Amino acid sequence: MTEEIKLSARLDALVRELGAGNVAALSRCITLVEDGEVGSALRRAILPLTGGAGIVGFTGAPGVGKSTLVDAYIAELRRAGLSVAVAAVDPSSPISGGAVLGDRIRMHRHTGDAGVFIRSIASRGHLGGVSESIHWTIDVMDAAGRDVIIVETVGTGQSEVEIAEIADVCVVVNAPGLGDDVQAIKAGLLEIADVLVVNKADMPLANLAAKQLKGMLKLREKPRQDVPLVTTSATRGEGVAEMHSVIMARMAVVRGNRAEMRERRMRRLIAQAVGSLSRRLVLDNSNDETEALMKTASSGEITIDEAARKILNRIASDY
Amino acid sequence: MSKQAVQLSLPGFDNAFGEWRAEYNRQIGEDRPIRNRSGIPVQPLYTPRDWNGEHYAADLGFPGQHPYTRGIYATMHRGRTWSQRQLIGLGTPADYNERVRKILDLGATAISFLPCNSGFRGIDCDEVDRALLGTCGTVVNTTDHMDAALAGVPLDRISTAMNDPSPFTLLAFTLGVARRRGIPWTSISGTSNQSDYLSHFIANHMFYRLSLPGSRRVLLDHIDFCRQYVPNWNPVSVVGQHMQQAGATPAETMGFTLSTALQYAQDCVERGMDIDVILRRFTFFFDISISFFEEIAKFRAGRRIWARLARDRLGAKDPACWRFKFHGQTSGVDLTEQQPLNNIARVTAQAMAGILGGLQSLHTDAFDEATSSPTVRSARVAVATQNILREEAHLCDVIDPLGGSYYIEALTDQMEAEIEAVIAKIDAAGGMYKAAETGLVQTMIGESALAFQEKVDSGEQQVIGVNCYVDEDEPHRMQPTERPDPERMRDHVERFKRYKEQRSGDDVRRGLDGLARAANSRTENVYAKVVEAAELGITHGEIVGCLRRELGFGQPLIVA
Amino acid sequence: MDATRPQSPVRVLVTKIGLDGHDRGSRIVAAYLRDAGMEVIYTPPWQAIEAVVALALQEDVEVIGVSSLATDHLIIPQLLSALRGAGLGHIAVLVGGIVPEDERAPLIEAGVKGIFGPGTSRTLVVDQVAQAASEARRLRNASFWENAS
Repeated sequence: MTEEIKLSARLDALVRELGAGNVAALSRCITLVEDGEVGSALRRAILPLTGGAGIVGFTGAPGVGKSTLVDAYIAELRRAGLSVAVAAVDPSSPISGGAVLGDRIRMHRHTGDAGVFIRSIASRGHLGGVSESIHWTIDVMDAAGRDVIIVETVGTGQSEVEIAEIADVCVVVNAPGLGDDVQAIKAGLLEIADVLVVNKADMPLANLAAKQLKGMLKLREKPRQDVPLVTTSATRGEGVAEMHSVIMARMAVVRGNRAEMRERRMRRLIAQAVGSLSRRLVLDNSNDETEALMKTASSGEITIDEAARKILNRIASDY
Repeated sequence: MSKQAVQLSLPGFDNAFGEWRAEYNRQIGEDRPIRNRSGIPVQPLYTPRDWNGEHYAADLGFPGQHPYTRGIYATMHRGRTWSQRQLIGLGTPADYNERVRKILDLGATAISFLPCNSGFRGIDCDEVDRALLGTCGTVVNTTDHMDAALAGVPLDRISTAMNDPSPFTLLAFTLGVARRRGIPWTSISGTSNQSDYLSHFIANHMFYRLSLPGSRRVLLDHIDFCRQYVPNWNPVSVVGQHMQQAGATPAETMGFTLSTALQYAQDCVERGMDIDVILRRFTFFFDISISFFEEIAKFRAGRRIWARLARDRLGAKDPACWRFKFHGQTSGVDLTEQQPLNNIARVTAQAMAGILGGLQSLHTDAFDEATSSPTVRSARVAVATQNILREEAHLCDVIDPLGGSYYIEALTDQMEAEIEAVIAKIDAAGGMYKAAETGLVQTMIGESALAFQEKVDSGEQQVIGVNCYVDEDEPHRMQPTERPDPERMRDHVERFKRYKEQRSGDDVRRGLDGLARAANSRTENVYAKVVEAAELGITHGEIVGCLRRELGFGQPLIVA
Repeated sequence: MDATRPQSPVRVLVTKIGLDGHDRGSRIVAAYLRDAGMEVIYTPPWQAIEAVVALALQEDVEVIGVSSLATDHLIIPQLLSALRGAGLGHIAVLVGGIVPEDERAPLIEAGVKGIFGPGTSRTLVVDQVAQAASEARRLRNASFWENAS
């Protein structure tokens, strides 16, 4: 048997186990799917099995009680008879590339439940946001037959924009009394929210926070004002059932555009890759022409933007 | 407050100092800068230029006078020695009773109770692998167990430190025992030694049982209940030990601890309690590291800062509230597994620092504490250490004997500045509760812990027997020391199971329902229901389980 | 062909089973491993053995670091057999903390790959974990191909 055929047979077996709901297979596939030959073959193999899951993103500033809310939401989903997979994302150290992943602790009570699969994911150098591989991780969880896939990230860096492109429904979580209430909802986060949640509803300032958010929404143009706002108390399990119905309602509307969303995400990922590749080219390589260009830019004769365009044209023609 | 010594007129001082400095530089060769654990630079010599007694009255005062820098009482250890309060806990209630009776026979009036780790975890002895039971503390899950543990112990004449976090079932069992013996609760004295849930959330997850808001609620109810029914009990012990053991520097530890005390005081006032009534029952509990002078300065600065916080910031009028009462325990973190007898020297140095720092009660670790519960022999050495320091080294004859030392006073001032900076940082974060909730404190501690570890790894901090003076020949691995008798433990667990079967199911349901209802009401006192439940024969695990369901399970915040 | 991609970061589960709750040591180890480029799934103390197995399975870790004090080590052999029972025998289990000399043999017999006392240097910890992970990957890769239907 040639290597290729051997791999293909092995992957077929693995994908069958994955589709049958085998947890070990699900776990292995997440590891394998990222890159290399095995990864790329696996990605192709699972594609036909995807499309069934609904993807919900949860993001928000640290300290809002996101993980506790996700934990309560998982319980709600299980009560509704749905199977769940969670991708809990934590940032990798930009220096060492390593990470300490502690999010899943908040969801600990679900550990014994085979209907809940939780995977801790490090952002792996993607500037505090999610890495490309999360896209494939979600595909694997989808192919495994999970009804709802939750992606949880901290709302810092670029991750909020990325979450919006991965998730069908993006839930932005806020909490009262985090110091500067207005600052707690950065403009970027408000933009991407399909559902707004004010957690810690048992706290005195919760109503005020909800009012402030509603006020900010009203400043938008008409159609985009319509973002449902739910108050919850994750520790008490209050408001979670309501949040679930709101999410499901939103999901029904959005699901039709999943393929389009996927393509948009791909385009952006490729653009980023082009960016970093050309960055490498400029930094690592030099010739007389580039040197001359640097000098003219240095002296201010041409702008940096102009210099960049010249180089891009050069790269394009070299390609 | 003097932060800079006024230039005294000391004829010839500058010249003589200059000469010494020159000679010092010539001899010392490469003089690397030294910093203590809190990061404060330590000079080779301190003189009147670093501190003089110019502001004696304001900064030091006399023992028993605000700001109490030199001691909280006029007589301090010369009048009444510190309490020797050795932690004991091992095996079954009968095992504990044997040990505690011996200690009482030797004349002790203060005892301490340490529950089994299973208790900290909030479960009963029948829910865990038997090999793990009773190795680090005593297994007590019911009032009956406590009755056996305290058989023949005169509850109205001794003071007990209960190392039991929220929801304080051990005190509840003790109150049940007192009622059985006809002892009024007003005669029960002691301390809820581990009532500081913030320190558990931050730095000792083993002790953290209920959610943060749940713990806050139960503590307030506990304080209120004790105020009314057990007035000689100290319901609040603000614990610096866990944070220092987790790696906080001494200055950080004091800063965090005082901030926690401020938080609890504030919470009580918001509840409508009288600050003067509440604050006088606040006690503190600290680790004593082997950074000898730093610890002394830490405690002296702590006394001074607390006196001012209590009087000026919290507005307490009763001087009893301004007094910084604390229990010190020698730090197990400084002890080594290698060459364990060396630990006797370490504990001695730590104990001295605590005594010279003016503590009110002291626990000295046994030299084998690193491996397990102390044996009778090693426990005896630990107690003897205290007695030797008092009787033979005469550490008690003079109050605050290091007062006036240029070094100690200058260092006290510097520690005070560091501590206040930490308090300011916590204030800026909205107080200790918020700071813990958001992980700020945990992050600071983690950084300090790592920094200290780097010093040990690099050899900058020498640890005898570990990174220097290593003796390859010495069999440094300790043998497993005391383990509870397996037969006794098996019997104990079997009897417990039978007890549960024979109880009145109605009583149990009633007690737990009452407890759950109280937890969900805004006005009922949850702790009063814990006490009732204990008297109805409900177990520790059942009580904690119920409160976890109603108030939330304690999940600490893990900060990378 | 290696179906386990040696380039991806090593994934380690750092946990405590049994009753002890002191985790200063395991936090420091987690920081060492993170600084060495590894991904650490970190749990609080008091994990049930079944929970550790479920975590190891979901997170596809290569190494499990168990921090042990008091008599916690007495139940570590149970963890090893539970892992094997769940098809996770390739995972390397390392123990850090205090284990009395006479009680180490059962752990080694059960399959523990190393026992480290307090004061073990950063370099040694990282090296040992990396080596153990490397071996675990080899085993996992071998079993990947063995299971071809």
